[in-house]
Amino acid sequence: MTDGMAIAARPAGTGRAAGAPALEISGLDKRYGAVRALAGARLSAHAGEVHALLGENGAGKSTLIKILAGAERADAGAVLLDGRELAPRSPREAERAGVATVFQELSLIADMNVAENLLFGREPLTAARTIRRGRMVATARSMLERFDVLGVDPRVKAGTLAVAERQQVEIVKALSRDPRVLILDEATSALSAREQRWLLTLASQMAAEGKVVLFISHRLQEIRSLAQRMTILQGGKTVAEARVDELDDEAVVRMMLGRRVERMFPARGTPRDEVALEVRNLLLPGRREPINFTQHRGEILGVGGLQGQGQRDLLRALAGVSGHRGEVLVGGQPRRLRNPRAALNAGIALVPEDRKGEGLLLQRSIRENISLPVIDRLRTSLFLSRRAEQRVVDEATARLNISQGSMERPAGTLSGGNQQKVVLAKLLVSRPEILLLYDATRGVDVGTKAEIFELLHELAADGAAALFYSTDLQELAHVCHRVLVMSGGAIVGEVTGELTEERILRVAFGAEERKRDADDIATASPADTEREAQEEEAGA
Amino acid sequence: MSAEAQSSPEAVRRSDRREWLTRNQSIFIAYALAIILWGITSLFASDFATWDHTKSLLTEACFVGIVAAGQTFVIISGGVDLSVPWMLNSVATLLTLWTHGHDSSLVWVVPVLLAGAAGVGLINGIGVTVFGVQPIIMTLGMNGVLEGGVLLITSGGQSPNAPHTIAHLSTGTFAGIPIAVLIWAVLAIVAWLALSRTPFGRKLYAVGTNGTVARLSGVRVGRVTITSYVISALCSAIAGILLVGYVGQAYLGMGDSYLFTSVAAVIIGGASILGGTGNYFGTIAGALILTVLTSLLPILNLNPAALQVVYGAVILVTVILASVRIGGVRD
Amino acid sequence: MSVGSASLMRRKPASLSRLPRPGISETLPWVLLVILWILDTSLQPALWSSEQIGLTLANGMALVLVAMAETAVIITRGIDLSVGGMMAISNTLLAREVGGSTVSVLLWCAIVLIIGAAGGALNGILIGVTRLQPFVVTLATWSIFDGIALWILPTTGGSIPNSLITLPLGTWLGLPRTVWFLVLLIAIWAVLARTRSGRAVYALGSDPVAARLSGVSRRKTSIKVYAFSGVCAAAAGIFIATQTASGSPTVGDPFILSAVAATVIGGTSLFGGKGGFAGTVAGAFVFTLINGVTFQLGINSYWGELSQGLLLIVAVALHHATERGARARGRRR
Repeated sequence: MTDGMAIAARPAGTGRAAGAPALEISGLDKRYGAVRALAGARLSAHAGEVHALLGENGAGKSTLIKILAGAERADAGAVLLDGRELAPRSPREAERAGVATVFQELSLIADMNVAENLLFGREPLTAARTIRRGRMVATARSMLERFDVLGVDPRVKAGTLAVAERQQVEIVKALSRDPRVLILDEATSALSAREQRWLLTLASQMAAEGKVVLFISHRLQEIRSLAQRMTILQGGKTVAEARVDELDDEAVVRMMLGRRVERMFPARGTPRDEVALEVRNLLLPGRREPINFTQHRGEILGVGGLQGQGQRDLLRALAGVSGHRGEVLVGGQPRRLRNPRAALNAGIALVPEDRKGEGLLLQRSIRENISLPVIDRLRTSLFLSRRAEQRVVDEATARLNISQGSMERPAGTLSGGNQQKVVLAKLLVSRPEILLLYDATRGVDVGTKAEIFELLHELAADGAAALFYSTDLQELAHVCHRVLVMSGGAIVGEVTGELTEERILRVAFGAEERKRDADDIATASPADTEREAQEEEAGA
Repeated sequence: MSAEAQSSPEAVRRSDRREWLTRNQSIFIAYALAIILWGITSLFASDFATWDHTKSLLTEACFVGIVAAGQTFVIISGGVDLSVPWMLNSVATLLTLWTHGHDSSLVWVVPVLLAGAAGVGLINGIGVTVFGVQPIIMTLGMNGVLEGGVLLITSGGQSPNAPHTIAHLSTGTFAGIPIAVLIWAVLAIVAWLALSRTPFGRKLYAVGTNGTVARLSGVRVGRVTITSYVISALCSAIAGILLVGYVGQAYLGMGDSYLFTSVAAVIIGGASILGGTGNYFGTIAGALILTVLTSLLPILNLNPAALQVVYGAVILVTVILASVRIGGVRD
Repeated sequence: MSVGSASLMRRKPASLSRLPRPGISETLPWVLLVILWILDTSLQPALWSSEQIGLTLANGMALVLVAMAETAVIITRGIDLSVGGMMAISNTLLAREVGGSTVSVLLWCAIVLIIGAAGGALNGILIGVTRLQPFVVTLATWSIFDGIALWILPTTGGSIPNSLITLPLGTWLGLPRTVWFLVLLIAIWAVLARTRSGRAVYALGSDPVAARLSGVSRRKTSIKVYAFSGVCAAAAGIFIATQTASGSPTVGDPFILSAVAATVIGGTSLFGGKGGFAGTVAGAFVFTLINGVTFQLGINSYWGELSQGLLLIVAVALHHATERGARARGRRR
């Protein structure tokens, strides 16, 4: 796949690299209070080039993009577009200068329809300066058609679109302004393979027209198929500028981290025989098919399938966040998971999908965040015991290697990776038996990811069980012992034995016809499954 | 990741102290302002800085202070209590009505009134948490209901005098300190302890900062919020009881000014209207500032209009000052 | 990853079933209005006359104007507590300064509206430029404006010329003048909401982050919307002058919270981004008519107070019961 795709992406224009770069950034500096987000970053991208920007979270990529897009102002440094200075003071100005950005936080307004969003700020007007609705919808429709986005009706509210559709509309919105530079700030995270190819076609078209496409992504494979050159940021500085084929994955990761990383995925332990979690006839809100499965202690159970198939609902139901019907038994005991408190008391802890909005109190100190789940236990008579709190927090932070420095700092001042560690620390203090991780590694740098997997396996070895949902198939395949595949709010299949990305995907598409009764799934122990899989391998 | 470098314990302690200072900077500003105002007033009025005058100043301030205590809890939780005026007024009115000015019935009237107030607070809290009505609307509606209800019961007639015991509480002294102020001091200590030293306080701040995160972290958000409204209603009730003793009678509209002043005191004291920050010490400073300003009026021979303008200006100044120096966390 | 099989998955297109439909919150105020109107007219048959309609409208018009101000501001997720003060400033200034001639009337009305815009713009600057909360800023300016009004006219008094008092009375082209005035207000709102600035206001309230990324200037939009609020409040002050024929420095205070109530009952959400003037008008008249009905029924007016309070709570609770589900589904990312 990679070779064929990569060649198709490279337009004829790359040969012109000898000329002056269309976009040239040098010596860019930016401070947020005491934090230095950029320290002399540089980048050069040529016309007709798709240029990737890589780096860990906190390395400065988003900041650099925000400066280009007019959402922030640099403290020092120069940005030249076609030889002229580019220093927009607002997103509007950046747009006028020819820079279109598709942000991670989508700029679509949920309450307005797609047409209003696409044409926001440039709606067709009547003589009385009021908006011409009909014309607006028609224009939006032709825009969507022009960029080959089918199946989105411009009259529906943007809030009702699926995430992937919204990302597509965002991209169309940016492209419709015929920009000189198109920036994609992790704007491709929700796109499926088909939509990625759509984007690939668009990007090569733009490159062929001599434009510059700058894009940030954490997915190396995506970068290799889309980009010609890349710039790697680390600690706010540019540590590498190279053609995409000049550096292999290990070299890229090494440059991003500034140090070697032995292995991303630690070895998996063996699950025990005791049952940790049993789910019987669980009906998720709004769904009709019941869910049944069993999980053993020490087991990391993956939850896979295409996005939006009920994985989120499942984890949230188990965490007591949303309602459910059916039985859940933790360690053999039936539990009513009415609210998150009840779930925590039952030994179930959740790492939510949005750490800033759901996982952390950004303005409160790290210490207060970590101790919150168990705050009721940290007291002597009526009052809080500082010592008990300190002990609990110290234990958790030691285990997670959260950077030294004041625990009194607001959690919002930490980098993404460290924030996720604080979320995990919160998880640890309640000493959970069942861990629920929803996309716990999204937007987290490579180094922290490795630490998270390490922790996961340690906890599993100690006897906890984990339900692990990730949009990254590679992670599912390498971290989990087995994977439940969901579709339409129910479990449609299971992948056991040797896990590969391909197998998981195949089950997700319902092509794999591994016939197992609901019984078998519920009662087979992992030891049996391993044996069965090995037998099958031996036989094949 | 330059901000995350390893630091020595000494550096950590220094950074902790800096963090504490930043977090409480608005409170320091409020007290500085209070002291400055007090100083200015003393310059203009020779008898201002006397113990006698300070006593009456503190007594005046304690009514706002007590109502604002309840308001502090609610605002920290992310809401606001606009039912304060008629909560106060209804308790004051019913107290005089049911005791007919005699002490004998006090023993059952006061507990019943406090229980009733708690009930009203409970309803406010339930409306906000269970039915999802915004605090502004819920408490506003409740204010109207209380107003209508009380006026219907009393038909707007003349209220009897306040019972002697209450009047003595509000106007008498103990060891040279006005009893009302002592009551306020006790409440202040309780409020401070509750907010900073109990799990409830921690949960309250969490709820006010981000209710979703609090809930996912196992906090019973509903209970915490309802409790804050109950506390506020009780504080208004207590203030109503003391006020009616101080003034001698209940009268229509006696609670009206406390809406603005209770919220203003909390804001001037450094809390954010959005919730999650602030503490009662700041509110006390706010209450003192407002009271000193009121007494500044006749001393400087100012128009009552000027007082209104100054109130507004003080709020703006403190809020602008507070926002100017806070950096760091981006929402 | 086998890309080939990816094409097997067809995503369902965003279907027409997702088009917006009116819900309970939009229809409730109208239902209430109709009920109250019927009640009112059945108690007082003379109400069907155009003269009575005109008078009823005149009774509620000041509230409608203040509520118009609040609706605009609430759509941006803000609130304007200073409308009471601005109303008082315009009312007292008029009562003190306006003379009998048409020129004087026109001049002072214009002056007062300009002051309204300026005061509102001040709010807008404080809110849009700094990150101060609307509640707190307008709480402060409410006090400041109230103070200014007190300074202009320390007690109720002043005089309003007949030409101004009789302005809302009478008819024009067969319909009461107040009806035309209401039509004018609705038209103004309709036009403003359909301009780019109007869209920016809705966007800002619906999703401030996305709005900024889409190029909305928080500063300019805030200034515009709070200036609008100030002008409406000042207009309300003029209108109340025609009703009471005098000026009063405390005239505005009761209107603030009733205006918020009318707005919310009318279906505009305090969360911002949604709502409109039509519902607010209905909400304002629901409140006005409750007072009227209790008066007609000879019920103690305090029942009116009570029922307004209850109505507010119940209406919003209902609103939420239906809104929250819809919003949660729509906002899922």
